[in-house]
Amino acid sequence: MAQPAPISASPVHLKLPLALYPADALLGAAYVLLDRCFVYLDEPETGRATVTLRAKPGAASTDVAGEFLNEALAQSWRRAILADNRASIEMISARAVSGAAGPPGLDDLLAMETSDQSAFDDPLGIAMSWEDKYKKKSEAAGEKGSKP
Amino acid sequence: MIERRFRPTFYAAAAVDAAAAVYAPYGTIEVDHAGPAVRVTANAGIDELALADELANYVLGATVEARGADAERPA
Repeated sequence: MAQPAPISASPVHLKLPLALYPADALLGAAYVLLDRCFVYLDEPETGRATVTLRAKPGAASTDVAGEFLNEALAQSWRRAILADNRASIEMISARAVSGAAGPPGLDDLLAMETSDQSAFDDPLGIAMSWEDKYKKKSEAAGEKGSKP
Repeated sequence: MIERRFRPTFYAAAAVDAAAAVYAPYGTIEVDHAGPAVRVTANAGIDELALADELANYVLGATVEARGADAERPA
């Protein structure tokens, strides 16, 4: 680790409401700028954050302050979108994961219940043959037609 | 001596301890967890403000990395 070099740039202080800029968004924005400036976050009064930015050599404090505000706004907005669409994102992710699981494997097939009682269960009647399904109707129709 | 308050709203206590250990060779770093505050006194020949700022950046970076926050915006 290099020895801390002297700092000559004057700092920029920003006062931001935490209701608009959540703490996570400020931390995220500060993290993006760590290579260009020194950042110190404080909350001197409840709900109001102060951000102190001091540029490292080669950058201007006012420039990094502008970038910080833009980044903080973008991070806040992204978090709001994520919160609004969390249910949809989770549903799509769950479907994607279940779809990626593929067809059942041998273990799944072996675990399936295939006893005599359950093997021929047909609660929806889809295993019924065409003749069985329409026989009674046609017979009934024939009987109706034969009656005087 | 420079004092910095690393409030739990933003900073993790473990990150403060880690930063104090990293920058201990350059000065006296007093960590007051009750504050929570850190008092930085630089060794002779070391810029005290630079040491305090470097320490604050380290605490912030360690906090974000510990949280696993998606701080880095995709390019």
